[in-house]
Amino acid sequence: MILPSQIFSMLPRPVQRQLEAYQDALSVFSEIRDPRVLRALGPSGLRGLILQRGKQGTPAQMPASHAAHFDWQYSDDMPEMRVLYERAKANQWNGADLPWHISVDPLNPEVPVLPKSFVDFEGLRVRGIHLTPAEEMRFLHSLSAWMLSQFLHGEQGALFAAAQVTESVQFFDGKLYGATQVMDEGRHVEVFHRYIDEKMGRLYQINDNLFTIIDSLMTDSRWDMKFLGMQIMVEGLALGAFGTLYQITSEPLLKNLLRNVIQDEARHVHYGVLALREHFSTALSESERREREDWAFEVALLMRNRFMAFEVYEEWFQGLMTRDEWKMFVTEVPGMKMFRQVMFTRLVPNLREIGLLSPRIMPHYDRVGLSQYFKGTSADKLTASDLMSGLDLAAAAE
Amino acid sequence: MGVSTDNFRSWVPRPVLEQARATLQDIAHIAACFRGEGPPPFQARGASAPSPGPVPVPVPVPVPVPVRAASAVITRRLRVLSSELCTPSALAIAFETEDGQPLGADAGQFLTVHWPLNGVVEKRAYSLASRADDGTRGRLVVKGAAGGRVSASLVARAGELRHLEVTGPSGHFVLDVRSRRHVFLAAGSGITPIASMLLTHVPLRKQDTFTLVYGSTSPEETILRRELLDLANEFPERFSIRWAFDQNANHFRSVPPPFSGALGGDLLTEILRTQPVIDLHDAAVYLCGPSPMMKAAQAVLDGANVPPARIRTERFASPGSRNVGPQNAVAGAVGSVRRVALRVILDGKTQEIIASTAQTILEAGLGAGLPMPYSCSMGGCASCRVHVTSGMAVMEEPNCLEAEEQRQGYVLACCTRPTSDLTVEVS
Ligand code: FES
Ligand SMILES: [Fe+2]
Ligand SMILES: [Fe+2]
Repeated sequence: MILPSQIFSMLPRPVQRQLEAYQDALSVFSEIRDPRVLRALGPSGLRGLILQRGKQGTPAQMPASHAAHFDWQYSDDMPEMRVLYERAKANQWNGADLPWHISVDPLNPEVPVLPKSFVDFEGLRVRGIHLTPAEEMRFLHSLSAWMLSQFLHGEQGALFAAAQVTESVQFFDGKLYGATQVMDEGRHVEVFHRYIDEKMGRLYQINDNLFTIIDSLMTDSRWDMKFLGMQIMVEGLALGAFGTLYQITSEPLLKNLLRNVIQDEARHVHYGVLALREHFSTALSESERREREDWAFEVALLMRNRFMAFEVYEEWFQGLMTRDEWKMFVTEVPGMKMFRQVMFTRLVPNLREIGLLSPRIMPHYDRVGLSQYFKGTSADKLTASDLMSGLDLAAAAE
Repeated sequence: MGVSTDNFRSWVPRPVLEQARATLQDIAHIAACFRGEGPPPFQARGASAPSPGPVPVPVPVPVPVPVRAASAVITRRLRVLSSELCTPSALAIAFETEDGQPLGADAGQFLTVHWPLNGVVEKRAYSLASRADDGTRGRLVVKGAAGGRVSASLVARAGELRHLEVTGPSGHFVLDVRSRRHVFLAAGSGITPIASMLLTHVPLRKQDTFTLVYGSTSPEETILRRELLDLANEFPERFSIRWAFDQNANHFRSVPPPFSGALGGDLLTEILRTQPVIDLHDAAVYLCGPSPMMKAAQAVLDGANVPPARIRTERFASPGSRNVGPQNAVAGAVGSVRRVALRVILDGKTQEIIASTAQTILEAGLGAGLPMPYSCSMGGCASCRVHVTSGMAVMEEPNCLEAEEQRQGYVLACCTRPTSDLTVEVS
């Protein structure tokens, strides 16, 4: 509590709620131990979590300060990236070719966008909240629209970050590849936007934590931090989220859409691993490497602990339960557990592959229960079809 | 003093104005939140929003293009244009790709030559010794005398060489493109990948400096001597060479004169001490040569506090010396060919296939259609590394796996054969 509880309870309702929200935001900062990481994330956290620049209803300006890196020699400096570039060109697809004629009714329990098992409704009942079957469907609609909205916002971030990365990356082959990623992300914005507009009928505000991460990597001037943030962390998050939804949704259009998007994203992560593995192992001092290692750990935690769908909470339950109760409820929701599982199976091996999982940091991952992912396969060893067949198998086992 | 708003705007710098506007908006936002009048969590979308129009006919979703054919190791055919001895014991083979596609190699990479010998297809790595930007063309240098059976056979049959079957290019021994200073230490046939880098990059990278220390038995036995001298003459401002010869150093004229003796720790230390042009500070250092020379050079570099991250080495010091054939490995271990069950864990899925003790794990896996990673197919690049979780296998030596990795139970699928039922995990 920011204030003693007697004073707190005397305050007007809206003020109480707002203080609750700030308290939660501040706890994000107090959990960060490394001062350098705090310095890197702090200003973005202020803009995202306190000032809520993503929710003010006006376009957000994020000044960038990176250098565009030109190479007049057009060096063939990363054959693996050239291969990726070829593959990216060959695998382009047209968003308009998806089966948009399929009509989607998010409230139809026969073809649910999210299955009822995604949410533990029993967990709501023990907190005194009883929803009728129709309300349950409406709640699932909110939750799925919220998720898809965050995907869309994340894709907008990915689009601009990919453009920045293309400017600043120091491998010429990487720049060509980057151009295809910009196209990919543009297409992802297109299809998620269209899905939300035509099929879901509502767009949620950007989540403050997502805003914070995007703001942090858009404004950081170091190209490798942009890369790490975008290509490894956010793409990892995206793969986790898309993968989960892909496995559990019964809605054929969405499944189709996600299948295509996931294959693009797998390439994006692969690119990040290639570029950073080289860079981190040859061009960084040990202290710089450590800073990145810590940063990645903190962002991984942010991603694990912080996507709490508070926007859905505010719509449905504000006043019925506290933020803390909601947090506990959401953390235990089966769908969210699955999402964390899929995300970290992809993310942790990639961190290992680029050298950000040294014995020094392992105990920290272990402490937060992530050591089971240490041995997985990294993106550069994983083809898109491996990835899809893994998901298809898991979906069949559902 | 009355300053109108317009005036005010004109003398306050724009960024300050924008900052002020943003801050006012922040304050208004926070105030609204405290009044309980914050923004709604979502907005309705739909019919009113612009939509990109209906698609008349549903079009099937594109099928992903397979990245790599998964049936077996695929070789490429090269047409030999010429093959001639460039020293008394080294054969230079010039070639072009038969499919007309660019070779796609990076300077410093190697090709794996598949060469039938006594009824078995042997595989050996040979570094490219040509400019990497030559499109469909390239050149390999094969050292005969001290090399193994394959090299000897290639040199002996130089006159009748028409085609070569290869895989690759593979390998990570390439220029560190972010470094502006490059120091190369080569001995014997270790010069080939280095020559490829020099021939490719010296003409183009005008900001960089390149120095080469090259040790060889004698001036007569020195591979690519002519090309390197020409390069140094053409770009004296950014490329220089220091020569060292075990014998006959006095047959060779250069400025400064060549050093005499084998390129070991002592000679290297002396060269580094007396030749300020070889500046290790901030340089990327590249090592390739026979293993005693590599060891000695490593020690010298350690002593000079060159960080390991700045040193690149080619572990196939003399590719021709891979002598252990597959028959030896299998015969030595089990005597006769048997069938075994091979379980491959790929991305968490376990697939069981029937393999034979005469097959490598890679051959068995690819044969069964598994998308196993690989590149050089002969133990030189570690792309095919797998972890043995149970069972026994023999791995051919030498290969590029570190001792530490071997202790942890890793093997290279392309040169390891099962000797019992085996489970491996692709990592
Ligand atoms: S494929 Fe290169 S070591 Fe096995
Ligand atoms: Fe994307
Ligand atoms: Fe992406």
